[in-house]
Amino acid sequence: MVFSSLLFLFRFLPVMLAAYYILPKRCRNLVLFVGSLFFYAWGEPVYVVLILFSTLVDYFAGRAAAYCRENRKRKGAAAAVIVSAVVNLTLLGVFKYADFFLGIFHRMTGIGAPAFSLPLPIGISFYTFQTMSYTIDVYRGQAKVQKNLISFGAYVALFPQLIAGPIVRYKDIAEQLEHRKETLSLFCRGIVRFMTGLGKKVLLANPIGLLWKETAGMGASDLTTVAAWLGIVAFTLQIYFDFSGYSDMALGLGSMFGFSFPENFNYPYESKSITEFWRRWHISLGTWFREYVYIPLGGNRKGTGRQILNLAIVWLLTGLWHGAYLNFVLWGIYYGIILILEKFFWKRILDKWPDFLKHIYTMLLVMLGWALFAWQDMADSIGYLKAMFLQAGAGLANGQTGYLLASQGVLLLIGLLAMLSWPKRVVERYLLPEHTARREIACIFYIMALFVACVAMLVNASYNPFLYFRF
Amino acid sequence: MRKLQISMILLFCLMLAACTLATFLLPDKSYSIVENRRLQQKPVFTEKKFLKGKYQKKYESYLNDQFPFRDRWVDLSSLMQRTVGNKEINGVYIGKDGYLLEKNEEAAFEKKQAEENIEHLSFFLNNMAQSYGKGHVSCLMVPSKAQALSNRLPAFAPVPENKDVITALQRRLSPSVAFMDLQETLQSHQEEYIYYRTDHHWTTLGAYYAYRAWAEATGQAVPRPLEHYGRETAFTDFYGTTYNKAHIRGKADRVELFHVPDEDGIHISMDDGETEGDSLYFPEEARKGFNRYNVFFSKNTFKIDVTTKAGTGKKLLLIKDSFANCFVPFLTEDYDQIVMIDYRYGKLPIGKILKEYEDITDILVLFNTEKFMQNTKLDRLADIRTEGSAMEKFDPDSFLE
Repeated sequence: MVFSSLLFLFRFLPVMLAAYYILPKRCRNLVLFVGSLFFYAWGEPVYVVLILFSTLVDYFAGRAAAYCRENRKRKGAAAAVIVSAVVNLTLLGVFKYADFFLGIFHRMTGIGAPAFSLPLPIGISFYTFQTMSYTIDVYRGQAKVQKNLISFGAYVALFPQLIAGPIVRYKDIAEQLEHRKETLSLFCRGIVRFMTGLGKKVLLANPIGLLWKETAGMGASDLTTVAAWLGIVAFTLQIYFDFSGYSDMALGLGSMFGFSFPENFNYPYESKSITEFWRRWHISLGTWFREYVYIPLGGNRKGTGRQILNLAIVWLLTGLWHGAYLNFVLWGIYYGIILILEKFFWKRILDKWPDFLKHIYTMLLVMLGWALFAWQDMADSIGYLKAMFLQAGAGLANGQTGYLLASQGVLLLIGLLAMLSWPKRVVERYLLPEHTARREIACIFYIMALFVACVAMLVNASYNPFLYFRF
Repeated sequence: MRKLQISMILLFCLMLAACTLATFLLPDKSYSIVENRRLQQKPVFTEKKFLKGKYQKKYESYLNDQFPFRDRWVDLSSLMQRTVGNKEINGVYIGKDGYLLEKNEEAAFEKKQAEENIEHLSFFLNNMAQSYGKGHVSCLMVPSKAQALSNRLPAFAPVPENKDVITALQRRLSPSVAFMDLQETLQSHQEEYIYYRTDHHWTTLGAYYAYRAWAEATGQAVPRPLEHYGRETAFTDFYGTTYNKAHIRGKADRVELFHVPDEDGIHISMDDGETEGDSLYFPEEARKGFNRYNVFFSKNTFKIDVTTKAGTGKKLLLIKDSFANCFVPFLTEDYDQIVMIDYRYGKLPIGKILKEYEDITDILVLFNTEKFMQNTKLDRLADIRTEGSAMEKFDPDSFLE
């Protein structure tokens, strides 16, 4: 099930809210657990077994790790973590990466390898990372063991962040699992956040995505340079509104049920360097890799050479995490190289540049990255890049380009404004200051308008993909 | 402040609850007149269907199809998209002067299908030219609205081309087949009202220009001036298929009939006498749904046999799609009998039909180019054997246009 659907808005969510607030307080985690399993089973009726399996393994691994810690059995605790990591990574390996690596094996050795051809379980990359983080946190003593299976199950399967993050580390919400307080203002913020996210997804990402789909479908030879750039701008906007919209909805829903999840996006397209971009884009993934891979590997504490190696490993994995295709690996390597260069060489030069140059530099590299990211076939990427830079397609511009611009230009402009923080800041500062009645009233109209607009677009939805489903 | 927060929460819950309840309380509909399609009904739950995910898919489209006041929501969404300057909605260009033009989606037809159809059609026509002789076999290809009315497309929108198909056909056809691509003919009249603004069909005026061009080119008929016909406006409230896709409400379309001076003695028989009548026009039928174009022959069906008192001694076999329905009236002065065959609705191979109507003198094929490429039943056109399987009934409901 996805949030941006009539089914979620007019079946699942009302039932969940009613059950959550009407049933006795002690049932709340149970409601969340059962509801979340149903939420998952709707789209993956069979693979729900996997998530239960992962939950059980880490429930027991966590308890074992805690038990061994208390009794000073270091090896036992380490073994529990290893079991958790092996089981979760095996799940990921079999269901996500098996065919990819078998394919590489086949190409390198010529030995025929069978393909599993298993469909990718939705959200597997997210929930396996969460369950692993729990056992590791317990092992490190950063989180208390969770003895209640229902509460733990509610954490793993929690529907707001189940299928597309943010990746919530156990220690971040351990306290909230047992003692969260649902308040009016939290609920209100949740509504506004959820509707904002829904609007980003339905009103911006989907229609802008159509422009990208059109240019991507044209074929490199029919593509003009301007159209190629329009297309990549569209994809850049689509993937941001799609993914950050989903995170907004997750955070908003969390608030409605009393949770405060960590932020996942912070206006990444305002960044002045790639380093900064990755501090603002998919924050929870970056945090996860820093916390559970980069720092354990030694981070920057073991000399420059080792640090570069660690960075390379992290970025290779980050790329691979996005999907079992070569383009994602290359995309990860691409960012790994830029980040290493920025850290050790460019930073001093970059610091002297005026801000607007820094923005242009960052966005250019980000858009190039998306051009790599968008295609599973490298030939397509190269063809598109050629059209962007070498006018290899149908020249600089033609009638079709003008048509795309005339038809989609306004939407793109709206998108460009919505991806920046200053329009929002200006409105909040001069028109709707915080803690004023005016602001609250404006919020009420805002959610009403968004609600009507989003439902209209959903009823007429012929195009409602979800990009981060593949991960 | 607290009050405002409570009212926001109440409002949000109310909006969710109201729509949710409405989906339960309002009765389900089986058919959408506006969209001209059957709506998804509530699926029956079975464990097997659930595990395969089929139940979920059906349930979601059920919820979507049966959503309260669905058409109004779609109207609103079209309006919003238009407001931000979007020039195409649900695959339809919002053209100039109230024209809605379907975008020729290349994905909508399979190249292989189109190639096969070219093969079938050229085989048939070449064969017929051998049997019936030069001048008696002709083929008309009607361009789609976006091609014919390139002047009504939104600014800069690319004009779709079907040149590949047309040239491929031309190359394969023997010189004794009169083949005409009507694109130029119709484009030269593109300032006139030759296609409906909100439907994909041409108007009777458009068909008239095609008829005149065909008559001049083949000599099979006398090209008559416009004044020859008695023009009657049958409807002024037509919103057609293109409107149903895009939900942009502009000016309604006018459906015009061109009466030949003497309509007495015209008799039609559909599907071997299933329906009989003495007129080509069915205003009562056309008034029932949204589709006023049904005033011509009331529907598309496999076989329509038209007999007239033209007294020319000529009989025509017309292989056609729905574009021919408003074209046929012009032919009633030139032929004693017109046998119309629409292969989307029947299976009887052409050989058997030719055997049944042995006294046919002329052959005409009239297709919309795009519909021709998508047609999946044209292999029967290449089946010129006179023996074969019996006619099977086809369910026209599953074939809504």
